[in-house]
Amino acid sequence: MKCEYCERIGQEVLYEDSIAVIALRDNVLTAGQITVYPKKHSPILETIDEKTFQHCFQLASKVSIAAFESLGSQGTNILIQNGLASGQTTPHFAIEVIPRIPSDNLSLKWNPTNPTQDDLAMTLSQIIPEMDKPVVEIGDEVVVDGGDTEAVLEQQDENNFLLKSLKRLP
Amino acid sequence: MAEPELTAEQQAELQEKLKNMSPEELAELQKQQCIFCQIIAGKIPSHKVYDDKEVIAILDIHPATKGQVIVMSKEHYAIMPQIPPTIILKLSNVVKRVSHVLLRALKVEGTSVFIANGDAAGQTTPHFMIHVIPRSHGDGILEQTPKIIEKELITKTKEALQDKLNQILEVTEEVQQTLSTPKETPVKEEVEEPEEEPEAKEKPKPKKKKTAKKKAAAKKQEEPEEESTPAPAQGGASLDDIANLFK
Repeated sequence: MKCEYCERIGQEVLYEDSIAVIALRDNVLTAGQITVYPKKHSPILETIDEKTFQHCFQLASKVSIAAFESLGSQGTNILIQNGLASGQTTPHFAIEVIPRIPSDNLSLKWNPTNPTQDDLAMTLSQIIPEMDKPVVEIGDEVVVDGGDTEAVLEQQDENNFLLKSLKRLP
Repeated sequence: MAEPELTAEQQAELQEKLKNMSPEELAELQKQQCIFCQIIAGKIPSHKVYDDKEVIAILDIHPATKGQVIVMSKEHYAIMPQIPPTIILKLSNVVKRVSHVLLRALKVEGTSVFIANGDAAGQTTPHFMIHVIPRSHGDGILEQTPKIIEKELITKTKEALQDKLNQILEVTEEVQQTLSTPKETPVKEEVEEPEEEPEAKEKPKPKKKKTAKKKAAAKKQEEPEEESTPAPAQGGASLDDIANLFK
């Protein structure tokens, strides 16, 4: 399948280095939106190595500054849609920098909920055990060491699942 | 979170106070007033997901979905342009880890990482934060329909943005040479110069020629602004109404 990021379809490239590309795309939420993405094809945040993400994130931060200073934006949103369920439409990980002005009619919001303290404590108890597990790099940088083999395989399954879902897009 | 509302009298009083304060005092006041700084200091209880010397991640008490986490620097910064690169790096590491953990711990189908810089972007808190939101199909969060942007508008955006971006990213000499060519020959704008581009930068080049005049003009406007803001870290400073771009 063609990847519109890798193939540079509908893009005006502003910057690129050995790791990442900064481009203006023609299919975005608002004019002036800038996309930062890793050069190497990778579908989601979880399949990108830490260094690459650091670099992309740093670039996004600088792009945000540039948008403030040159596009006259009065705010910026930085958005990562990670996975089909979050609205990701292209199977290539990207960070969107969205310059904002008050009159742009864009509404990037959610309805806040009011969980009880018990609910929050319950959620936290679900999260913490995962948080305490050692970090394992995946994708090409798979680290298969000692007893971690099972975890790696499991993660690959998860990625394959997400990849498959993305491929089903029209 | 709702902002505290003040009466007219209180506002006037506050204005007067603020006027007489030094920048250091102002910064200190901001911290005192910031509920998130109080959370970080442990004065208000929170559900900590991650905690180190510089970065903290806690459960949002009004989440969009179960398990929404906010990642913050411990130091008080209002918006991202103020944050030093080393802290940005740390934040990015924690965001990646939290996203990964949420996917696995809550068995969700995706995550959204969301940042709002400034009122216009919907920022409602005085403390810079990064939201990591667990996502499921059809949850309707941050829902927006993409639209197709005309080529002309993209070109205009590029013109407005490219120089500033190069400056901030400290683009290498080679690229800057090609980029600065129209700048050095403003008088000969109308004249075609075939020798102009020795190390052409492939695609973007032909367009640049067409718009050389416009671009030079734009540059003249931008120059004084650039001089007055040498430190790109002060993002809020030069928010002029060049916003015509978006109208």
